[in-house]
Amino acid sequence: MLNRVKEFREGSGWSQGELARRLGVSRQTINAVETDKYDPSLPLALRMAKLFGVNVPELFIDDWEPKGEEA
Amino acid sequence: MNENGTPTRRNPATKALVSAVVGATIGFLAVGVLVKWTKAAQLGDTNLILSGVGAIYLLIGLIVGLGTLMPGAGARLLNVEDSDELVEQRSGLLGSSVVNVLIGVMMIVLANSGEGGLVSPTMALATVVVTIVIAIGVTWRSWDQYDELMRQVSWEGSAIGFGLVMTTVLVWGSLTINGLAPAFDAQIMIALVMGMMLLGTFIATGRRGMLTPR
Repeated sequence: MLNRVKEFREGSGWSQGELARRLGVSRQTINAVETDKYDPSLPLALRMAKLFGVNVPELFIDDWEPKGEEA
Repeated sequence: MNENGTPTRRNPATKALVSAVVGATIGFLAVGVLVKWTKAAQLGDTNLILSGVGAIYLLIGLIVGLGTLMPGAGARLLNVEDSDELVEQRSGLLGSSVVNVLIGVMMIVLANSGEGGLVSPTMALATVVVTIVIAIGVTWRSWDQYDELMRQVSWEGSAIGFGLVMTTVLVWGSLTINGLAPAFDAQIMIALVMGMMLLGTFIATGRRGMLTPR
């Protein structure tokens, strides 16, 4: 899933290690999320959003739209 | 070395090349030592294969373990950003390292046991039991140190490894039943299962970008 974690992290002036430390995960996890290799769990996504002061949909981009009701 | 006293980061491609060359050289030498110093090769091809897979586990365990204990040198060889990352993950990495070393030793011991082997049946079985008990204990403890990515990769590696084992055994078994392939050999079965689980782990870590040079 596309995300803006790197953008927000760099905007906060944090390294991957610093963000990892604040979230209590490994640097590999941050790297995997930023490179779209791993979608974080809901609790971690919520923590990331809380840390950056945004809502989860601002951080993680999903193109899915609900289909309209059939007539 | 930069002014902060930490090693200057090397080009990821160069680092990957150096790691591959060092790994291949150590692996080649280790197999040579195994063939010369143990009886696995004389005992048969299957013993040698089991011993070879064991050597891979042993080497991975030693390289990760020593790299973690000596983060400055480890950061040059292992796929991490810098030595601090090895320090941060020390507990989990050392646990994995111990388990890999034990599994490697166990497989080499098994390859050198049996009729005409260097290791007595009592010693071989004791090694297996001790390895299983310690591996379960260390893995149990390490699980708490893992973060969610490591847990996910562990599950995926196990699932992929199991799928590979199941497919291979099913195809091989079908051929054997119909007289088209030799019957299962215990040494090959152990080498196959352990080798496929290792391959599954590599595939899982690769899918998560953890083998991409950093």
